[in-house]
Amino acid sequence: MLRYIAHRLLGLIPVLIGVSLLVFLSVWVIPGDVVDIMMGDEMAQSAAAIERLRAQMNLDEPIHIRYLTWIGNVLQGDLGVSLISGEPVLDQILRRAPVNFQLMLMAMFFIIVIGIPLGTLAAYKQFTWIDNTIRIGAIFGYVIPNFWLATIAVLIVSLYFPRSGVLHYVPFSEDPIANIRGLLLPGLVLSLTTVTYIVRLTRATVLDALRQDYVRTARAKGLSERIVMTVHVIPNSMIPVATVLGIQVGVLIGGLVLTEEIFMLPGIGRMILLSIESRDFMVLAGSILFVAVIFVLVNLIIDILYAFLDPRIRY
Amino acid sequence: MHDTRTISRTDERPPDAAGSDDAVAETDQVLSPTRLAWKSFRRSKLGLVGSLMVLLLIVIAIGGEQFSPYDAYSMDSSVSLEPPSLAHPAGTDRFGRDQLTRLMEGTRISMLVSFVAVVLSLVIGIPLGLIAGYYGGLAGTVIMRGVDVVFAFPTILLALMLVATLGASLPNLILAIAVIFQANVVRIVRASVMSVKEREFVEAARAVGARDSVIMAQFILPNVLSPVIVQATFHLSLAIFIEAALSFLGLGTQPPTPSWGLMLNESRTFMEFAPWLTIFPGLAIIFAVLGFNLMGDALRDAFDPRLSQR
Amino acid sequence: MTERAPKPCDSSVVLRVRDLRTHFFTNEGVVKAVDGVDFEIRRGEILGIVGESGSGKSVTGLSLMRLVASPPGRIVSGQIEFGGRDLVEASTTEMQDIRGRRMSMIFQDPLTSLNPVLRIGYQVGEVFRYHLGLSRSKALHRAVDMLRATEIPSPDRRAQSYPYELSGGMRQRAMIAMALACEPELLIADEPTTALDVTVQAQVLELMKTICRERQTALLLITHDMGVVAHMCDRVAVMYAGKIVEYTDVHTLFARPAHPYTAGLLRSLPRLGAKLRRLASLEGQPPRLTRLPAGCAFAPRCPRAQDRCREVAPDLTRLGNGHQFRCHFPLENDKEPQA
Repeated sequence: MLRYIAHRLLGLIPVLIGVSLLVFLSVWVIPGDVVDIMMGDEMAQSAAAIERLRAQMNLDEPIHIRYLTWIGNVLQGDLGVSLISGEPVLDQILRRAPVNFQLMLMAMFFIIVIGIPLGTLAAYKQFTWIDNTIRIGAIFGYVIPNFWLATIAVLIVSLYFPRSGVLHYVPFSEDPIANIRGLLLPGLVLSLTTVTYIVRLTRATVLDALRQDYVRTARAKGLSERIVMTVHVIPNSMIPVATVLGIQVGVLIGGLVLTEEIFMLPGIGRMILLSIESRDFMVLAGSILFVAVIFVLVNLIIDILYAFLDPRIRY
Repeated sequence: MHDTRTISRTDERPPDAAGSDDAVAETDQVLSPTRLAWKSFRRSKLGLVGSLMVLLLIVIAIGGEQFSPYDAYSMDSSVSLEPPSLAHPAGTDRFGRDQLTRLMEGTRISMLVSFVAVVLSLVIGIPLGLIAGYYGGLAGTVIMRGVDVVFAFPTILLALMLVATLGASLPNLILAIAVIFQANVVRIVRASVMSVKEREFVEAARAVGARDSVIMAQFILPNVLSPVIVQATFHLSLAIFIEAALSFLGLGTQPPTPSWGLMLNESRTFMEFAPWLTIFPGLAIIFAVLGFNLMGDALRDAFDPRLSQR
Repeated sequence: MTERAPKPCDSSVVLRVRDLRTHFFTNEGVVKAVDGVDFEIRRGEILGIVGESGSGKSVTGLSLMRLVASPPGRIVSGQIEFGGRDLVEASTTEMQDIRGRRMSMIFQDPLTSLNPVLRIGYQVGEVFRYHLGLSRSKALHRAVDMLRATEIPSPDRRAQSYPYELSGGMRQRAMIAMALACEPELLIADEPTTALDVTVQAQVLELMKTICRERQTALLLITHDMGVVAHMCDRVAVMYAGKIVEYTDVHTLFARPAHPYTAGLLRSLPRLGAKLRRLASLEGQPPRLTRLPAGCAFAPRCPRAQDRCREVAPDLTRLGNGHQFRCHFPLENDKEPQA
């Protein structure tokens, strides 16, 4: 198991190098001279900003030196400072990260407590109206764009429940209950697509597991249906679901940008959008790199979990 | 739907698509895989519905605003923010433009973005996948590392970053989507090539001295095509979604071009007293995404009967 | 042929099946997989059910355990008398209590029949935990004992292994350990050695025979392999198209088969361990169970078939020595029964 983890960690290195290169190249090189772009943009036409940019990026150096300088700083935890506010990028990220973390947890919670049981139920009741209802619901939930749903949700709440506080974000440290209330709807909307996807996937994997010979063996042993399901069917069918959950973290992260924008939440997603609007490339590069690294690490954890669930992978 | 990777995995199959078995039993004769797939596809009712939806979208996309008595761009402040009526079935926007006409014009944008992006992703992805799968080696390793890097980003975020830095415009949006999709195409093509290239008929062709290019074109490509077609169908629906999402964020189509996502974005200001401006573009996106998804589901079942027997 | 088994000292009947019919209701029509089957097994006896694939022998085994997938399958009529009651009428909970404790079943492919992500010891131990209410550690301990009894080397270590780490023979031994853990009265083995190498087959069969004889467990051995039948069974039921076409002791079956189908099976047997998949002397395919002919189902392939065979399905003929068969024109060599 340790060997497996070490192997996976080593495999991450080229991917992380590639990720940092892509961020570096697209943010700093493809747009041509960043300074020109900034000069052309009235929003950011501040001498101080340009000065910060020149200082941080050694714009006169050759490109590989610039990359190495940048990545060297990043490895020491220095993502640079915002061109607009002068605040260190990492500080901004860490200040906003709790909102994202909470939202992700909330969404994952909905995915697991709604998606997996509904999918299992649909499979167990295959060919019944329960199964059909769940499946039709899942197909529709899957094609509804979450940013549209979020917009409609905001509309309905602000029209009919303006005082519910559901649309009002409060930091956790100030009022935990109001905080959770304010994140409930964003979390639900954020999770919707993944919930319906997980319902469909769980249904398929549970149906697949139910047809396996070892489930017949379990029944032939005289195990009750409850034990057959909880010991033999559900754990085995969760193995592919766990992997997909890891990939779905990426969907959730992508969804964060839209969700935060619509619900006006102070998370990293909004920070990315703001940095694009204000052409604050230092913040853009830092935050996208941060998110991509988190995503890669989450997938690593999921892979390790997968190996833990399925002993055949480890060797 | 919002992530390229999830789509080719195990997923639910609609029951009425499970027709390939009966096809064999019924005729008791051997059909070619393509014929079999086609038979199975035709049997799927949901697939038929999806195809009709897609066909309708294509017709609207070609015709665009020509089907409408109104013009998608000309403003008329006397009918600003009118609710749905017989004259304007989907209402009018703040400049008095007929929303239904703009939605039809938006169909053109959506179809253009998704088809061009998907074709581009195939043009890039198929050759790269063939090289990575058939030759492997250093080139293969480099290609696959590149693919890994693309997969290391959440899809929407990568699109966001590319469009933000390339500049928000329709061609850049198409390019960004194509770059993301090609990674998935490379993966699928490579996997199919690797599974095909050791098979007897390829070995036989090699044994009689066929050149690599001939083997690829004649034997490998046809076998790779069916998973690629299925994936491309799902990519079409995903592209519609990404275009809408980025335009919604102001990073895709620019005004006054009527794109569904952009219309949604613009509607937010008037949401409380003109909700029709929010509702209809959303329904248009749902319609398009659903159509391509149903078609993709049926195609996948048709091409891979093993998966559909549940 | 092998040595005759000693006559079971207790001839009490463990299982009696009467007119069992299990049908599958599919889109293409009703498949009568098991269509009126009668047989019985006594304590310590080994009964073989033999037939080609699709003859209904596996469905018979699953029906006894009430494990036929429903839908589409259903036991439409008949009785399964076991332990003083009719299992066809038994509730799910009653069946759960019987399965694995009083009646066990092992299957063809031990790799897919074992849960890939659970350790062998745990899977064997489950029987003890849920039937005898033992704790997890005690159950594991008993499981190791059971693995030892099935001659698995270093059972302590093997109990900690996952199925993929074991050889095919070991896996099937583990399945046997699991099945026999609670000393059931009846063991149903569905093609238990088909997926194994020939040398391992013989060992596993020998093990099953020894354990069943020692513990006086009745064994219902489902196979398509006449060699296995000759080696293992006391009595044999030959199935064709959902019906038992011949039912007798193994000696009579091999010496004087009455049914042309049995005779065909025997002629196709070049040596021990031969498979029935390609039958040199049996032309044609087993019939489609959705379109059975009006008369004898075997008639289209039968060298002795007359017009009558194609029109009237033959009833069961019983001879004085317990020999039963369904044929209008049985082979002549069964006239004078001898010991």
